[in-house]
Amino acid sequence: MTIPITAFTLAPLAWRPWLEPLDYARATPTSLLLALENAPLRTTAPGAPRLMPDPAVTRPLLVSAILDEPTGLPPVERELAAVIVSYVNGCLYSAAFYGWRFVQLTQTPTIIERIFAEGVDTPLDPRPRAIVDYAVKLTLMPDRLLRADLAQLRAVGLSDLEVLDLTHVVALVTWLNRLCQTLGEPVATADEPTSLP
Amino acid sequence: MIPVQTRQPLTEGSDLLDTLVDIHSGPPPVKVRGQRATSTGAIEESYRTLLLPAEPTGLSPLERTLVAYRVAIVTNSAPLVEHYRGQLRRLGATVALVDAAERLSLDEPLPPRIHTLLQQVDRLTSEPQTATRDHLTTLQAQGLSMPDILSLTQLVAFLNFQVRTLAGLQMLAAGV
Repeated sequence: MTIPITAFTLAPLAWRPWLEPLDYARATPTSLLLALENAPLRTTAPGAPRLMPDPAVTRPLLVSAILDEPTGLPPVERELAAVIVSYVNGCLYSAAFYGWRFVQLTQTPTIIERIFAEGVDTPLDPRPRAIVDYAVKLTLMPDRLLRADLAQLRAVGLSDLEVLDLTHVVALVTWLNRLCQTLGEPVATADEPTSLP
Repeated sequence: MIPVQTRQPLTEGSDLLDTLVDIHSGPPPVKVRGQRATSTGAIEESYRTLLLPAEPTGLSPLERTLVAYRVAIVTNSAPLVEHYRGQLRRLGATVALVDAAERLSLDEPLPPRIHTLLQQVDRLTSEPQTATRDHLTTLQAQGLSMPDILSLTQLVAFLNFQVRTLAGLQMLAAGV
């Protein structure tokens, strides 16, 4: 028995596809590959969307290049941006997953719980505030970015390379959110996500 | 189904986003992008795989480009609107079709399959949180196959990525 999730949570979630994977057998291998080979889904998480039958493409280059880049924007700030984008897009599954990753890194759920309870305007220190503001604006109004938005990020110490990393994370999560939101739904699970390799 | 010319799309410059940033914001290009060669290469590869597939299944090249064009319209990305409008013309899209695909209201006469596709584009771009299982059932009832639906979803999701990456690069270019 699976229970659909209807509110933001840090509890472990699984993802249930609406199109049963069995149906994919009716497509040809070529059509599946072309349709799916660029699916940037983190299938290393239990319950992550299992849309790709070929293990060779389960961890696409783009996702690891953007989310696991060892230099530039610190990992905890990547996860924060990913939570914010998922929250703004209303993607409960992604918000829980990146929220869990954020808590693993910071060892405290306080900020994420406050965001889920109070929204993105909850009080934050200047640097996370600027990161959150940029993530919200790029998610909702990508056509409204101004030089002033860059100035705000630079003012709290982000280098241009970190701004580029932040941009990549926000853009990538808008991509992932849409796959998760439109091809299936989150359900409760007892399993904790495992660490990514 | 809209007839599609089999001619391969024109070869772009080495990288679409660099090209668009240069054209619309002027040099110098965003230098830090050179430190993210893996991401940059993977982004371009995704673009080519989804928009310029050598052996397209699911959506046709013209349909893929129409979907991309519609995302660019809905998100108000001027450089990408211009880019995909050019691609549509190269693929043989009629002026009437391009015009119909750029109207805010999709009530204007469009081929039924295109109308279905673009309606889903609008929903997934502007209100992804409203997507339901019923929408997929409806798409299937309207004649879209599984590969069609996956192509469509991937394209819309990727284009939303492309729009935002380009917006950030333009901001960085303007701040140099």
